[in-house]
Amino acid sequence: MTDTLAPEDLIGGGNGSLDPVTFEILRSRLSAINDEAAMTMRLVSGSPVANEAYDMNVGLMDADGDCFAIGMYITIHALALSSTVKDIRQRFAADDVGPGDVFMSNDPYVGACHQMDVAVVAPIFAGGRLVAWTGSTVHQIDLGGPVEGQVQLGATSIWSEQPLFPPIKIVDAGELRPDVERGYLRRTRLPHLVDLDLKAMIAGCNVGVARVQDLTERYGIDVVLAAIEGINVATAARFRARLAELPDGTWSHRGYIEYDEVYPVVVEMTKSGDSLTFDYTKSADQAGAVINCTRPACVGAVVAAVLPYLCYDMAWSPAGLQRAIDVRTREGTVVHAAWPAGTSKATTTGSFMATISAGVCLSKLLAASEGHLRQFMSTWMGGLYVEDMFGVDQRGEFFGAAILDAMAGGSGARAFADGLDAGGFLDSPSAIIANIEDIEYSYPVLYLSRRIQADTGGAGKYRGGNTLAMTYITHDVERLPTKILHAIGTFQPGSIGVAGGYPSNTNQFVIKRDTNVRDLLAGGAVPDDIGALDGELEIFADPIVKTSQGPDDVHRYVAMGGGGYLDPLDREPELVLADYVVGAVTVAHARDAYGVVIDVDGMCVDEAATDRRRRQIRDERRGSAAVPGAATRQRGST
Amino acid sequence: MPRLNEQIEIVGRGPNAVAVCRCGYEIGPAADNYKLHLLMREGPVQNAGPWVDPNGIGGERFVCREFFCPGCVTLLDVEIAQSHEPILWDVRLAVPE
Repeated sequence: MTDTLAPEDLIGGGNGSLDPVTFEILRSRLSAINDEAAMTMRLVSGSPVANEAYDMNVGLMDADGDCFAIGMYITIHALALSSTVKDIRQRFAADDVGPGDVFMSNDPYVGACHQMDVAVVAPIFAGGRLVAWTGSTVHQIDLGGPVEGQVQLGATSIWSEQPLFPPIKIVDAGELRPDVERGYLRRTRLPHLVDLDLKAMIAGCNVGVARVQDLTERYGIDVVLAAIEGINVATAARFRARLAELPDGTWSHRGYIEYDEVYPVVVEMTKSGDSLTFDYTKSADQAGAVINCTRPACVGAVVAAVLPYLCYDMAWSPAGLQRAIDVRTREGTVVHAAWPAGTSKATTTGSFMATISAGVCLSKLLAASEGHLRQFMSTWMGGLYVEDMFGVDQRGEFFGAAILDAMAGGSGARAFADGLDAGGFLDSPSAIIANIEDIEYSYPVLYLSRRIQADTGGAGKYRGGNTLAMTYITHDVERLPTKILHAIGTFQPGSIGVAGGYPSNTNQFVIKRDTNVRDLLAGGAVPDDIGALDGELEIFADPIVKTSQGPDDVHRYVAMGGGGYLDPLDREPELVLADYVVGAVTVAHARDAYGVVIDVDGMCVDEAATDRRRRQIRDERRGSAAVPGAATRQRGST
Repeated sequence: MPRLNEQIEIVGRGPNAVAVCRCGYEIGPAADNYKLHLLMREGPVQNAGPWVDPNGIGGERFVCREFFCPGCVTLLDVEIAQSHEPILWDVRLAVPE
């Protein structure tokens, strides 16, 4: 079908088209099938990554592989499934794809976001016809390679990262292929966990296949196919209508990935009429390995930003959106890797920053629109910290974990309210974090604290959401021998503020070595302030660190908050006081950033002192700033 | 009336269009990068907040650029950049003819 097809040609237009009520029933049903497939996957998987942190997703694709409906989890996965199906369609003979088949791949150059996000897809046949595809993805904790976990420290190309497998058939006409399963599990340090996840993804696909087949039997194949195309056409039409309501112009952003050097991710977003172009061609040349993403991941990253900013009230059909979006990349860059560049950490570097950078542009587009200002959000958590942990657990078993608490970053400020503290991250509408008790049960750690950290959201008339800070020690083991701590960077905040709002904090991870924490615990205290402990503080400057943790070492990390909106001096002093009361802002930050002086004894705003302080800040601004000088002008603007 | 955001509007048409702060201060031609006509304070990245690289591990590689209206000194933008990078032209609205 063509882009010019109007929704009424398919829905409610007569001449055999679908009536609107049936269309809505089918659209909702297809969405519910995704929900059920995702729930099945979570229940079958034994991985805390899937059933505690929801680092997964499902999708439904049409016969050509275009994704018309995705689950409400990690949105970038949807395009990975789509690219994987398109590759199968291209490379497998038609009679090699049959009912009951299931394929799997972890190849980023085919479509996987990075090697750890295994894509499992299955064709859906009805009446002997290929009518659609279903797919599922779960982030894997270990798939081999020289280094435990996802980040292949020291890799210089994809050859020194996790082994790749382009699409292969794991289930043949309903029969699991044990040789392929064995080959897949042979490469991981965690075969039992990875096998459970494999079965979970296959189970998710089985649900998708069965339910769509049920639908075709009840409504007829042609009606279901018309509904699928109708979803894409209706979404494209609604999306184009939304774009037409927004101002035309070009918005730019420079985000950064820190690795062996700093790699800028540069995007120029041009909105013209009812189309949207994202141009990443000025982004940095690729690194040898680890931080790059491939083009499919970059395209998925853009869709992951567009969905929450502009499509909050329409069906999430990536295929529909893609009819109005053009993504331009340059091969050989950090967001469009050229073979054989490595990509093992792509989802928290290359594609992550592609999403954040697109999101910054979209937020400024909404800020420029009076009509859509209420939907504005400043930048969400601009850098995800992850810890991969390996060793022997409290039961004497080898274990591996990906600690994803930092997904509870702060969300961006809105035009009428603050961002949400620990609001999550832009890439997943359903992101949650595991209960501390579940983590402590699964792994040999004991949390001393996990709390919302004051002053981490970007200051503004409306502030960004604060993020979490956590401290923990080892528990019931001699030591944690392998900890790989990694973030997109530690030098600068990725969560930029908008229109005078400040950015959030930076990712931070430290370990205080050889502390007196055990003595304090034995005495009945819970020492949750790392600064109050004896010991030597080790501050990690590198964005990727491999280290270990002994019994008296305390690990603390701080995730990233959200960006602020408008000048903090315009914030109502009573809102600053309310933040102080709940521990969201300190007295010092209230004074320094907001110019609000809090009378701690009276628990009120000192209005006269606040007036003086705000005048003082304005005077300091006037005295310390100047129109950009000759040197800066020589550098120009871009 | 077109606007960059709640703080800055575009007044006029074509080559006569100008960016204007909410206080009424005329910033400069709408065809220019508005930031080049604002007051700018460039300092260490730590100026962006108390939890921004508090240990200074990034050295002086990144800077915080704060842009103020020359009329009312309202903060209109905050930019984090590598110190050698030019000022980012982040919003270029299509100006009405």
